[in-house]
Amino acid sequence: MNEEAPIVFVVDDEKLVRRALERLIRSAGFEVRTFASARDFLSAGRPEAPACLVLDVRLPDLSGMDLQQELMRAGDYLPIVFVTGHGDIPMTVRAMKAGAVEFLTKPFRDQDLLGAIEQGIRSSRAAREHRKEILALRQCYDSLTAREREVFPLVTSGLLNKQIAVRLGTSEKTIKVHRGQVMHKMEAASLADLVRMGEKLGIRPPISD
Amino acid sequence: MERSALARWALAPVLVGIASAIDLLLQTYDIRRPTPEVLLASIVITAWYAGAGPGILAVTLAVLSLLYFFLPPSNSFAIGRPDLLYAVSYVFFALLTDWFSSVRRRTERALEQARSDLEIKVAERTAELEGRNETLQLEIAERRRVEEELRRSEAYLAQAQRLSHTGSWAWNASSGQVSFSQEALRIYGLSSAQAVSAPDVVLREIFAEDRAALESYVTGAFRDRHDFEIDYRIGMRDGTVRYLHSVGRPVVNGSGEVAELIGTTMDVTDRKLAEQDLQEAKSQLAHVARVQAMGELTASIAHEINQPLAAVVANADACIRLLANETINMKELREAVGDIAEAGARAGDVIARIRAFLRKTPPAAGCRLNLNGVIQEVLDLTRSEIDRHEISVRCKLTRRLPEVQGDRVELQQVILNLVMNSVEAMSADTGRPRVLAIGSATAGDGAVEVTVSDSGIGLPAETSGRVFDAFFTTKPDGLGLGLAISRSIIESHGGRLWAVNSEGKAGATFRFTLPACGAEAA
Repeated sequence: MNEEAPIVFVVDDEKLVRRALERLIRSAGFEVRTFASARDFLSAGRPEAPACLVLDVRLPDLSGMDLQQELMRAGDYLPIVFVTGHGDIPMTVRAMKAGAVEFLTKPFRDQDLLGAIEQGIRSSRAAREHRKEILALRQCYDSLTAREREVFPLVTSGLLNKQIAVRLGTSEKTIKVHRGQVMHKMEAASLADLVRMGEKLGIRPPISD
Repeated sequence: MERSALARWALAPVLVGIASAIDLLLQTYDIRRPTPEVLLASIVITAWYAGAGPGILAVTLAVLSLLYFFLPPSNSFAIGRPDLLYAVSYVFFALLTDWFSSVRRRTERALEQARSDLEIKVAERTAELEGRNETLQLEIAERRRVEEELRRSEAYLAQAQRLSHTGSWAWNASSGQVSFSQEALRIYGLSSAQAVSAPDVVLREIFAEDRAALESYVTGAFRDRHDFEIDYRIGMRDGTVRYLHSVGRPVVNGSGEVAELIGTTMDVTDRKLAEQDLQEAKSQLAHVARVQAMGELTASIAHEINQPLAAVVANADACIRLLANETINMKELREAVGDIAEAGARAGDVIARIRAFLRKTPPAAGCRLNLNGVIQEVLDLTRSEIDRHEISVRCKLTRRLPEVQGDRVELQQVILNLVMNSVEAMSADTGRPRVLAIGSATAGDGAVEVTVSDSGIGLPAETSGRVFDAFFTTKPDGLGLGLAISRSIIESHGGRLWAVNSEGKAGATFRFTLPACGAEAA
């Protein structure tokens, strides 16, 4: 999975800058795709790969900041490295708060940009892995029966089988079988493992009396 | 006085009668022998008083009386022989007496007449003399008054010349000499002794480049009888420079030749210097406004310069990395270096454009230029600012626009001001599309018109009359000079700048006209 080649997107309306960035980033071994405007970028399809966006703040029609908002709204986690010809502090703060990786003022040196890009790709990769993990857990969770889903949060909240049996009005033995099924289906190696999975899936124990 | 003719003629018989009566009485009382002396006396008196004619009548009557009363025989006109001689001699003497008396009388009369004539004449002459004298007195008084007036008027003239720094002069054609008024002497820095001098005393002090023009004007005035008007400079002995303005007019004599050239020379140094100061102040103010306008553009300018710089640095860094590779991609390298050169040139262009705009230009005589070009330059300069505000530009330039005479930098500033104002007016979010419309057109009467309009908030009615006032501003950090300076620039180019709210839609429209070159040259 990790051998997926990362892609760097560059959005800048200035042709000379676009070409220079493309050349520089490619020389560092990344695959580069360039766009002249935010709209072009949005309308182009995005391959499944860890990615980073190098984005000019000042763009015709949709600005860089607007694009950042747009991506956030769409729940699209794409690390952004902002570059600007004239940055001011409020602009930088706003971009960083919204989760930008870096805010570079033109002209900048290669190590600053490439460092930021690598950081962006790292976090993109991490995000992708996180998403994949959640996806796998969700698949396991989906295979549980309704009763097993009832037992899951009670187990992770630390109750004993006996307590759970009283709570659900059944025998301790039956609960023991359910617990075994949950552990097996979720591919959990230990109770601690299952608790972590429950947290990742956002499964909260029911409010105890 | 003239006695009446009747009285004169009556005198003869009366006097002769009286004399006869006296003689008869003397004879009657025999006082003495009858003698005709009394009768003679009556003739003398008659002739004396009544003249020769009545005298002759008296003589006749006296002789008749003598014959009748006194010569025998008495009471008869008959006469005896012995008395005849007496009678004849009597008649003779009587006539003599009459003649003598009347002559005397005439002489006397003539004398009297002459005397009275003389008196009248003397009186007349005296009266005449008195009249003459009076006239003379009046004339003297008048002359004194006129002289006084002349003196006063001359004093006024001198005073006026002094006050207005205007001297007068007359250049005589035949003598070739020029006479200068006091003030003219002062202006040209001449002494009173030089009140009449050869023109060279002035000409040699005039700036060489002005002298040729003045000399050709003077020659032209003598030859073609043209009036002339000229500005020139003169170097004073103390090293200062005077700016002079002269007006000259040829005076033609009876035979149709130019007898002299009269004229005035005004010292306009103070005014010229004040004008220069004003120009200087104006251009400084304009410079300040330009710098301020540029300040508003700082973000855009930084962006415009940093863009090519970023390209240069990124390309250079890419080259370093490419050169570190084992196999060197020459094509890629060449392209990168080519881009570096191009970006460097671009940055240079931006700097040059800004420098040209910020240049502090002296108010030089303008040259012919096309406003479309100026508009394009301003749009280039403000492009990123316009983009940043997400404004779309509708540029409608008339092709084959007539050229105008003007200062490119100043006109750039006006258009930049209008464009920046429009951009600012649209920065507030109104939900309407942001449109900056800029256009050029030929207006009526050979003028060129430029219109800049926006879709912003428009001009509030209460301030629209004041937007051209200096220091009037609606911007929190504005100087309020942009439009005031723009208007003064347009007016100094012979044009007009005004503002209206855009017709039928939101926003303001600023419009200015400038006279086209063709119209001026005609």
